[in-house]
Amino acid sequence: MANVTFPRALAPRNLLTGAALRRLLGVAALLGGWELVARLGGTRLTPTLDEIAIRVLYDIETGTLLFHAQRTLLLAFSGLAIAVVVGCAVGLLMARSRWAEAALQPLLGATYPIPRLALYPVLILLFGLGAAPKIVLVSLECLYPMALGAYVGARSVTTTQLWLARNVGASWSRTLRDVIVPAALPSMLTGLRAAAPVMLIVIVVTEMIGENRGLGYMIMLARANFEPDGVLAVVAVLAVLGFAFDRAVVLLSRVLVFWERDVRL
Amino acid sequence: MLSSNAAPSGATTMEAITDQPQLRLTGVRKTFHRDRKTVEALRDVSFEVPRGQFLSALGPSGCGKSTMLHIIGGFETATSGSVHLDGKPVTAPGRDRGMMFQQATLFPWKTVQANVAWPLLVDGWKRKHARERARELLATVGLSGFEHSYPAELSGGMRQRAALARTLGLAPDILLMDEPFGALDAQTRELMQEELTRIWQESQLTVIFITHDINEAVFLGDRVLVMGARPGRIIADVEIELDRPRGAHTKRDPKLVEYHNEFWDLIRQEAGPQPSGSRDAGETPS
Ligand SMILES: Nc1ncnc2c1ncn2[C@@H]1O[C@H](COP(=O)(O)OP(=O)(O)OP(=O)(O)O)[C@@H](O)[C@H]1O
Ligand SMILES: [Mg+2]
Repeated sequence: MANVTFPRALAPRNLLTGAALRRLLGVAALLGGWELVARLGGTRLTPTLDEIAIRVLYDIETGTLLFHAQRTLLLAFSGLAIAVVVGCAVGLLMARSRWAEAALQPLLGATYPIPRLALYPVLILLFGLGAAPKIVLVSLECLYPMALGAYVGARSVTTTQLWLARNVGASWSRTLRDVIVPAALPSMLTGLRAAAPVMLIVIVVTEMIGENRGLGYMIMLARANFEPDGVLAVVAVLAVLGFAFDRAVVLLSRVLVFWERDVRL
Repeated sequence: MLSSNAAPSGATTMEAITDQPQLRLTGVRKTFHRDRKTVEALRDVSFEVPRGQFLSALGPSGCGKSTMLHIIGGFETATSGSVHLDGKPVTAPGRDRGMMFQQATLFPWKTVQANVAWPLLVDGWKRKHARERARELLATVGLSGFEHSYPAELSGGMRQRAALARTLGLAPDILLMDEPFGALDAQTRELMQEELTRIWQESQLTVIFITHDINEAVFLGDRVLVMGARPGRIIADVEIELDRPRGAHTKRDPKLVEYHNEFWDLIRQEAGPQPSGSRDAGETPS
């Protein structure tokens, strides 16, 4: 009955920084390896790290990077937003309705292995050449991890929790809002974490195909001008963006599912 | 002292004429089908509960105690037989029957206070009033000061107190408690028993309390149902004649030991020839 207090993590600081250093080890090895190859046996095809860095700064200064990145991110997040809304709805529905599960699960299972990028030409025919087919493709790709996350999460609600809601007399929508969604939230965020890199990959690839804006276009332009440093500068920016999104989702999880503090993403 | 099933004792006969029992189970049967196997969880369970009674139900694991409570609560339907509450058949869950489940059901994403206030908010209470009522309820179960803690920060006993407070907030006519103290250590369990006795006496609620601890059943109950397994059924229905108010002194009452031994014999017979556990010696009060 006594007041229970949980000791804060008592790990010594140097251990924490040690772990942080270890995390950086893989990245450092990759960059170091590249630098070594570039300096020892390098050609124009393998610019050194500082050449890439200079190119990134140059692209920032001229404003091209910002211009193209804005466009890319706008489309990417539009697609992701649609995927989050539709995916969560589909996942929750599948988890809570036998009908929906029976109808949707084979559909998702059968369409999952299809390379949806192959549908891009069809999407262009359907939606025209603008932003629409890109957004649709991004949301199609991100739909799967989101739906799966929501489905698994909503399935984790226990019978007793639902019975409690019935005992209390909570309506269907109230139960969804106050019981099912919070219980599914951790798993939904795991889905979001899986969807974020997919989103970047898909949007950039679509921009590499017949487009005159976006980071994917920047890559193709640099390639056409035979500027490997230009290509790699965009790749480096994409890597940083991808990492930043991942951290953002982890941070979001910490805030939103604070009650699962022990679960490390 | 052991009487057969559902024979009303002299004291309750008068009441039975003037006042129908609050709860009546008639020939309740429940069979589960799973993987082509059929489990008869309950067979011909019939009993009546007068208003205000504290009824303990005792039985070995798997004898259908939870199933019985789930049927009374309206969460599961009986395969045959009926459950009547105040003369009306039970068809669905309702706030008139407050259920404390065997599994923990506090929402880990809500504070203790928010957990207790949730049923009130669902019922349409104003936020401010729900909060105040939740505080009162938490005070009743001795959890003042923990309003803003999360369930993960509480001990097992405190979590059960919070769950009890939440259930009391439904203002039920009957409290259905499924082994609420099952996971607690011996000392905490005894304190909780005394506290529950106090709360019950103040509220005059009807309580159906499930346990597999003989002393707990006897200490708390006005009456004890003993259940047997395979199939789950009632093998004894006994009025407990221990004085009220009960407290720490009751646990030293020789009559408690007598009841304990009788029930233990009954359960042992029911279980058949098995290596006798250490329960007999271990749980008899000194
Ligand atoms: N949903 C279900 N499907 C199939 N069988 C079930 C189901 N629920 C319970 N049973 C079976 O019914 C019997 C009674 O179960 P119940 O949970 O009511 O027992 P209990 O007396 O509460 O046990 P314990 O003391 O362990 O909680 C058991 O044999 C169990 O396996
Ligand atoms: Mg049980």
